[in-house]
Amino acid sequence: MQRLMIAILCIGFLLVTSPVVFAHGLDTMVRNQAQSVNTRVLDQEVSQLVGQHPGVRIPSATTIVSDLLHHKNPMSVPAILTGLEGAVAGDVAVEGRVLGIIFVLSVLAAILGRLTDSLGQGGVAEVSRLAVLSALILVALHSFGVAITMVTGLIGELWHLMEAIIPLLVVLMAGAGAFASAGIFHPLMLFTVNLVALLTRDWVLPLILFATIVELVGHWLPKFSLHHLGQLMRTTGLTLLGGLMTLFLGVMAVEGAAGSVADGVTLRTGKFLANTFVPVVGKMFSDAMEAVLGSSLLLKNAVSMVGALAIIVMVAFPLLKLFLMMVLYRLGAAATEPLNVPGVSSTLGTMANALGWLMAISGAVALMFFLVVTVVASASNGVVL
Amino acid sequence: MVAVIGTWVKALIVIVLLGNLAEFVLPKGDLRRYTGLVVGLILLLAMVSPVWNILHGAHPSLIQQQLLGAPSSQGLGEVIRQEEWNQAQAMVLTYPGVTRCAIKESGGRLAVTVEVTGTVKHKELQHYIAGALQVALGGNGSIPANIEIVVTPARPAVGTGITRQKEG
Repeated sequence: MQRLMIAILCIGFLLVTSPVVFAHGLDTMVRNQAQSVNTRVLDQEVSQLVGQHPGVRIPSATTIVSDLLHHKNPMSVPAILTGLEGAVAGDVAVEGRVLGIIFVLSVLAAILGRLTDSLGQGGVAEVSRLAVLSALILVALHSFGVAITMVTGLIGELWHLMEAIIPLLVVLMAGAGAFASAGIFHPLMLFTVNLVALLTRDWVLPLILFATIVELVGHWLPKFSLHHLGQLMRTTGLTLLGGLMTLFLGVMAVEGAAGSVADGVTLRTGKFLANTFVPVVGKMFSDAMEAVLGSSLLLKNAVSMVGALAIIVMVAFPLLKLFLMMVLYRLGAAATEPLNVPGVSSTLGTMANALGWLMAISGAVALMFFLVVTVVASASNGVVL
Repeated sequence: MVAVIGTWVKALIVIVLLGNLAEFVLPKGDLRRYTGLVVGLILLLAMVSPVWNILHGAHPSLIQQQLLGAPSSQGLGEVIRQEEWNQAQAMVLTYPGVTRCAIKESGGRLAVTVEVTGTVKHKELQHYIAGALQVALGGNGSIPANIEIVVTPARPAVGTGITRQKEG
């Protein structure tokens, strides 16, 4: 990374000193700089991470730069929406079938219950209820397992993306003249991102899983229920997540403020010195420096944009899927309540709640990582402007 | 840690399942009521026991058992003293010319038996051994009074205790 940084600085220096800078326009300069930074690995990583959703493509950093220079929109929103639509249709079909099975089962249980009531044997009704509830819980647990695997995978992928994008962003930040920001950001950012991802994956998600399982067992076998233990575990997990989020936001805010102020002072001093003390060419020199820093800034913002877009696309699909599952389970809970089979609608309600928590967790993690990228993008913009 | 919580939750769920099974199987009556009470108590015990263990820390932990072997009549203090002697022996063996060293306790006194080859100044060696014992056992700087040091020339036979390979 250091070598890359030195290379960028050298290129920047060459661009400053050579008269070529003044002959070519901003377009050429930006293109030169874009070629000097190797973003191919990042682009590969991003397209691999996003590639599981067909129809959605994240443009590469250089494409974004040239599109922005020519006042074009680098990413077409309709494409994302079409991709989302396709994914949603498939998910609705699958989850709707699951819900249909659950519905049929609960109707069956209700009929059996009425039948045994009229026959006058209470035990049979209980057994039939238990059988139906067992099948229902199996189906529900399966779909919850799918959901939690999806969220774990999502967090891992976001983690990979952040680890790929942070070093590049920091190098470009230093290239844009924000040395203090780069110095402050790099260790703290990596630390917080790792901390958040690790604790969420290894603590928050398992706690939510345990809580859900305990509550489902409580609905399944109402005697000796462990309902409050489940609540305790869920509260613990969510408190942990909330604490992480608070810590994260604090660190990010302080970092952004401190770094950009320090950088702004340094660079302005440099420009002032060049203007005042270098005779004749001083003004030209400082103007050229600003141009180079500006183009490097454009490239950095393009990379930030790739990161932000990738995070949005990667999160949008699982979040939408979780949301759909949650809505369907809520619908099921509402629909099965009139059948009056004890346990069925509360089981479905618990499932819906659990899916809602999963949605909240993945949304919170994605928001934090998104904030990292945007804070980096905005922190060093103040230097040049 | 999460794995520990996972096993705990698993155990709780198994107890709940068995309790419910018992409720189903048993006939209505007094027996069923008492079973419910007993299952509830067992559940309480299973739920509280890890917390209890953490709070009191009294149970021998698994790592400790693996390091020191199963708890024996010796106790931890004895094991530590033995380790200190071994350390002192190892230090004495670094003295040039010493081939063998054994530390034993007899009647409240530490008996150090040293075998040497060649010409070794006994007084210096005794000082060295006393110093090693002080370092290993922890002393206040003066030579402990209840130490008996016996220096003998080396025998060809190899006995017990830590021996040092003669360097060529």
